[in-house]
Amino acid sequence: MHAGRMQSPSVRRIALVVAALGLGLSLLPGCGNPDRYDASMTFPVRSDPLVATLISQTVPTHFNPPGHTPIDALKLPAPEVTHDTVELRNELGKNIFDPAELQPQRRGEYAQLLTEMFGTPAQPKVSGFDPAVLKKLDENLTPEKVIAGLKLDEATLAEGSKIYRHQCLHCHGLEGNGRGPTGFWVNPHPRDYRQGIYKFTSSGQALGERKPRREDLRHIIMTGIEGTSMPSFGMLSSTDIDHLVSYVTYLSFRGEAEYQTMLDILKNKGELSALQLTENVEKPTLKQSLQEWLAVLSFRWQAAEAAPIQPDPYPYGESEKDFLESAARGFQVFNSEGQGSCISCHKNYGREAPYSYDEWGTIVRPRNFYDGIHRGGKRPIDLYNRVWGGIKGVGMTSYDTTLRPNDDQKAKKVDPMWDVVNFIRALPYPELRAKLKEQHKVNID
Amino acid sequence: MGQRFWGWLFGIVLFAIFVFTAVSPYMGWGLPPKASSFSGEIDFLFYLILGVVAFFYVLTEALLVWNMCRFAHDPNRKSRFVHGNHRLEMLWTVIPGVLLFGLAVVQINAWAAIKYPTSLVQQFDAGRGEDYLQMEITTRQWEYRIRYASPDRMASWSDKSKAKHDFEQRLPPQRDDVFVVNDVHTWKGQKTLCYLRTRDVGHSFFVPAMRVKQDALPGRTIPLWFQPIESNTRRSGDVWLDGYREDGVQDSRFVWDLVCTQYCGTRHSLMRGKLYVHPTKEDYLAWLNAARADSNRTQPEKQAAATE
Repeated sequence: MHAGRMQSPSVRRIALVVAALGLGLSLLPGCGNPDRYDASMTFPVRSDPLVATLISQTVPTHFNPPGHTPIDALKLPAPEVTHDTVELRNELGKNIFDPAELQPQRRGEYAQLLTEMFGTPAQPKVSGFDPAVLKKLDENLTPEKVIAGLKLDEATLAEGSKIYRHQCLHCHGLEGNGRGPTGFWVNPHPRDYRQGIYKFTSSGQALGERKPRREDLRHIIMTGIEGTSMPSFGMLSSTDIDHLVSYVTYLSFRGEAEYQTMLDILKNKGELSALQLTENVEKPTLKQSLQEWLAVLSFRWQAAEAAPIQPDPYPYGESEKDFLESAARGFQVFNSEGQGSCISCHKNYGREAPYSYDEWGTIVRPRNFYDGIHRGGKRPIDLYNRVWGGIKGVGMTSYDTTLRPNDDQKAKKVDPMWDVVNFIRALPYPELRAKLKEQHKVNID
Repeated sequence: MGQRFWGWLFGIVLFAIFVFTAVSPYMGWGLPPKASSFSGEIDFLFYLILGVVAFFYVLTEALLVWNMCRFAHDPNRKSRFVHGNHRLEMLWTVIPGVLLFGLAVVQINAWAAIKYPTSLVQQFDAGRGEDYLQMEITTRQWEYRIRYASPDRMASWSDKSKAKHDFEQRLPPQRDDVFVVNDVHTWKGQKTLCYLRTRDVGHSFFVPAMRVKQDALPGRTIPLWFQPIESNTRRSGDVWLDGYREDGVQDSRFVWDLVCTQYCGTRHSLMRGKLYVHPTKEDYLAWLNAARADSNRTQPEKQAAATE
């Protein structure tokens, strides 16, 4: 009898606990809104060091250990840093600038102005153009044309923001700074969009300003980047990828406007210098300076869209004989002092390529052509674009002026640029290397 | 709460599960369409095992529910403990043992035909390598990167002089290879052989419609094969759409996913591709040539940019 009486309340207690748990669990999916950023969230003002130019004086000896980018490692306490980091500290104040030196008042100004111009993660926008400044760069350029041409309207960006948050955020970070939680643990580190520099582009502008075309960004998202941690996002719909391209462009606009003006302030001890675009202004306010940069970026991105690289026609046939003959000529160009001189950086065809810092302050090596992995794509057109225009941010120069065929070569149907591309395409395959060596007296092993 | 409440609750829930499982094949909630040459064997084994499980499920759960209803309301009744009863323990060890052994015997031929690479090697040694469409699938976080050999090289696949067990040597990288991300293409009736590799952690290659699942292990190249007996693709201009039955009717059961079933990192759930089975070899070659033209592109894609 005694045991029986005890049982009933304990059964009830268990039932209550189970019911409460079930109710709680069923409510959990309603917590927060997983689809979008919180409406009150704003982009933080940049606080990580800015790299001004390609760091060429200081040379790393290894890839950096995972967990920090080389730039973030500068702030680590002494016992944790490597020899390379100690060396890199010499660049502070010369090529690397720390926004900690910014006055708090300036930071407040940045937070306010950038939010006014670019909105928040949940409601991104591009606004605050000065039409007069745009006009000075290009007679026909208006804010509406920029927004329409680069698809930076609010509806597209809001969609892009959602997809970015879901798919890209954890590596590329909230502001597109390449410092999402997983970004520190992969090498190469994810791209930091805030410098406005992209490696793999097909636009034929001058090297200093070359922006990617929408097609380039779309291609990278679709196929991923082999040899890095960027996978393919081909399972997204075509419209989603289009929205993402717009959002990445937007993050780059916001980031670069902030980067360029902040760099200006840090270099000039608190003062901003004018780009000579606003009338009658020598010492612009931050707002004017941001507007100037917004105009410059709009102009460059627009111009990139309209100026794709036009490759010279591929002058050779499909046969392996033609290919190998071309590759053999490419070998000469690759090694010659005056023309290509590719070998000076791609030492031993990249197998002994030296380490160096790039414009983001991360560590890169020129490609090893023997492993057959080409990050910007292995299609002939992709390789051609890179030889033609170089790779921005890493010190690969453009060869459009030196390697394109002159009239004499055109008459003979020979193209040194395609020869180099074919040589690079032949290098990964032992069979083709052997043939080059035997049939064309090319001295490679 | 009445003392019989729990007995009834368990009884209803367990019976609902039984009914749900029993009707699911007839409601289209069961296995994907029989699109693979393995469908017969695999589905038979699946339903055989399901049948055995269902029998014991009904037996044990009915006993459980009956006991709950029969004895729960009597507080004076003492439980009988059977701990240490050798006869009972032998019984519930030997019966499952015999059943499992029986299932092992029943499935052994299917396993050998599907999974055991020696059968592949034998076919290659008999000069029948050309029977297979060969491709290399390199997985990484979080994608399948697939290398298709050019059709010009199909003849060399059956080369007997190549090392016996070295699958990699049968399909060395070539200049005219075609690389495609996440999309596996083959054609109806074709035996398809994939060399599965991984660049980083363990991944898996699972196509439910083909009844094939294989893990990718770091440092190893693992062959797997399947043979589709249905097609699911229709050509529309220069693109190939999946989800179409051979008679041209659209059917969502003919969208055949390729998914990773080995947890491989944060984006594991998004690591997926698709299987395109073309109706004929000509269709496959048309697709492959289009893909190859793109791989060998020497001029920018003008039309593509204009139509998008």
